Amino acid sequence: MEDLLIETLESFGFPVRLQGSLLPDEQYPDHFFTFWNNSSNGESYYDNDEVSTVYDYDVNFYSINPEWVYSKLREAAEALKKVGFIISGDGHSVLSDEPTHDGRGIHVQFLKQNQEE
Amino acid sequence: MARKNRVGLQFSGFKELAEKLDGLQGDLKKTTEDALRGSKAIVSSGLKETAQKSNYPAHGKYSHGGTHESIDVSNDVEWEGTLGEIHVGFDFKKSGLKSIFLMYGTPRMKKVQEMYDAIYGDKTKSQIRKIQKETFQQAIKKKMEG
Repeated sequence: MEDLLIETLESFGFPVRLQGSLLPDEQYPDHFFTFWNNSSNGESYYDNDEVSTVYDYDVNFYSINPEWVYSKLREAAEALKKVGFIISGDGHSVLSDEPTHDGRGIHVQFLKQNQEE
Repeated sequence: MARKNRVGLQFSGFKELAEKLDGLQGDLKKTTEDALRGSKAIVSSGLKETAQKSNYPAHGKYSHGGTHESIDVSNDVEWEGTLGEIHVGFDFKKSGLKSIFLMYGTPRMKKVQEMYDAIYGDKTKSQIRKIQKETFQQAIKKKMEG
């Protein structure tokens, strides 16, 4: 699931990193996405097997362009929707370590069916 | 945080229980407010447990306190028409940006997952649904028993 998330975000041409993974002395790219997997919980069960799983992610976009943290993140939300992710709401502010960058995040879920009916 | 940390009634079978309580001339508004306050107590209790320095980045080395004290404990239910909601989480006037930093992390700092889960986690959601349903069931039982 993470592969599809990363692949979709990478299609925008910006780096995609795990939230919290930049090193203390590592320079921020001008524009980049981060993600974090909050959970991957079983949604339904049949005959002792997990039939479906809900993957829950934070997706954030950081940029030196304050306007882009809204517009690019909305574009990313649309792209994620097209490949099956569920987006709730229009996002929230997230903090940047660098005063040069602004950040904004969305909450993303994916319902994966684990076996054919 | 732009995402509004609010809880409304969210258990399955709500409509049926509300209609039953209403039919018994029960106090729908008060029961809803009781259910929402019970929901908030669950979130606040979870946050108090997780808002400990040992859970913070670098085990709280850079924490100056305040996050624990900024957990919103007000019990005001906001009504918009027939929809009641209660704010849960942090009072941003007190915590400033610290709680956002802890809840979502930064590119260089991982989030405090336990704190996020105390508001948005599946276990919390399940406990909220349970307390809401039980509050309505108890109100109905009380009415039926006179």
